[in-house]
Amino acid sequence: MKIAIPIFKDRVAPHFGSSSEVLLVEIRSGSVHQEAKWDVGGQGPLEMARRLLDLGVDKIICGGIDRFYREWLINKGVSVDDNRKGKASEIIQKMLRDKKMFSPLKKGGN
Amino acid sequence: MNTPSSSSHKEVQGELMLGLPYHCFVLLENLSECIFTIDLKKEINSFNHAAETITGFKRQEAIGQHCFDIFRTNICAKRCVMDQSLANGAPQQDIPAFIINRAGDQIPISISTSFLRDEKNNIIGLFGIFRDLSELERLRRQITRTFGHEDIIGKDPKMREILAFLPDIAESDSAVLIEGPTGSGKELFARAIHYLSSRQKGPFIAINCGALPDSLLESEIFGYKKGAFTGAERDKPGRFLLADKGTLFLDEICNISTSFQKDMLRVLEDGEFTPLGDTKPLKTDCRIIASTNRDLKAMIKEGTFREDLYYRINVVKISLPPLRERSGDIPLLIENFIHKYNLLKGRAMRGVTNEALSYLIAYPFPGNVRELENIIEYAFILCKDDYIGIEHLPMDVRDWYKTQNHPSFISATLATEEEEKIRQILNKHRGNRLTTARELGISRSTLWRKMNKYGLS
Repeated sequence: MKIAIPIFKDRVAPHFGSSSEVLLVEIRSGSVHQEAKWDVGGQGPLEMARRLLDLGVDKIICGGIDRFYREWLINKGVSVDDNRKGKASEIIQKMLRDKKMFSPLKKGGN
Repeated sequence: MNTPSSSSHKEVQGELMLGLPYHCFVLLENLSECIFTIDLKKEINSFNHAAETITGFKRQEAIGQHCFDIFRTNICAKRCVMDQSLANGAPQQDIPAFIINRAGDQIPISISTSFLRDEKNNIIGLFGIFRDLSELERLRRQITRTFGHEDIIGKDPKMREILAFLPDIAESDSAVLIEGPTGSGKELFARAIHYLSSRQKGPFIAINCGALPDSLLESEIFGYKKGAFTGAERDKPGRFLLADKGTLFLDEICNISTSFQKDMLRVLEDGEFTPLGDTKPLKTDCRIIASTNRDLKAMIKEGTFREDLYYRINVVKISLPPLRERSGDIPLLIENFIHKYNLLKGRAMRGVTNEALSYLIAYPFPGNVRELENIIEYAFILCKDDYIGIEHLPMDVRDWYKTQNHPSFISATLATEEEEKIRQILNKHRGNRLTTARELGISRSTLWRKMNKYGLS
């Protein structure tokens, strides 16, 4: 499973589409297999969403995301876990502990 | 004015307004501007009611959190207003930004800040004010005609389905044909596609093909050279050239003649055209979005529309439903138009009465959304009250309603409303039927009949 978290320093970026970095995490067998950071380079929310889709991301964890882009991503089969805040690494660790990633697709919000 | 109870005020005053006197607290709490304070760690320590409304977060959820996690503006990560205030040693005024609220709505705002200081004049935090600019921004987009997907109003499943694929359509760069009856918002969709596409920084050029005869349409679309015809005193670039690197919207393409369709086909096939009076062909790189309010396939059968042109423009087709097929969107559209005209006309209209809404929901709207907007604009002229009633609706709507058999739920709504109104006025006049009938504008016998009907006697 591939997870993307737009970040602001080490925290979840508050506004999807205006963050300059995205943390990409690949989970295999219940643990982090690999991590990478993608320098977004000033792309807008739609370009960013398209790019994440091209990268085969299954789940996006983010702060605020415009409903329009959230619905578009969900229609494409990407799970969007929005309204999140805090350190990205802690959210991933908590998710691994809770095994939330194995839950069915969620329609945004928390 | 919402005034907090004295018990709750003690509870929240400290965290809301840093120990300000009660009257200041009430004042700040009731302002329509979003007001908050943060400390130097960017943690929120006060948050008024308007801030709750705009962000969708309750005060209890916001207090103690980082401001960027609650306000979620597009400038938090890159151009933090607090960092800039502290770096410049000066408060910031009217900084434009967008926030995303809890529900996922992107809201345009302006931010102003000033410093909070202790008794020794040390800066201990920031006092911030947000103003919601949604209405102004919507008006700006209407005036500059830079509509985006956010201007498309509709919760109807058909509309949601189209909206869900708009980014894919925009990305494709293929020609798009938008079908829909007049007034259904075809240009709005065309503009939204343009502003979602990679051509968004290029021009969006629209031309109404039905408004001009062939000869004028040719010079408008292809342009002309000086001296090409009497009155051509200088070179004029055509719409094809103006739309280079952008989008050309051919509105009501169904109205162009078959001979001009042939010329259009040639341009659409290779992007080359020759302005009138010129010999050198020019090339353009623009995306074509065409619209029609007629069934082009039927026109092909009639021989009035070229089949080859149809297939050239119909790579992606969007079919917009008439308003009568998405009547569930009517209340939402009414609300939107009332907001718009309140702002334009400096009014504070609150809505439409249930009775007027019943009339509007039942009306077939041959002119679609445009007609609904005209109806609201008309009602703003006649209505001097808070709510638009049936007496403020155009005669066409009222006459149409009278001639129809309405679904039972509408009759039921009206009956309930009538009963409630009679009950209220009877109570007001302590059961006096004469004064009640006078206020209702009906005779005593009619009032008596209605009271019997509703069991009020």
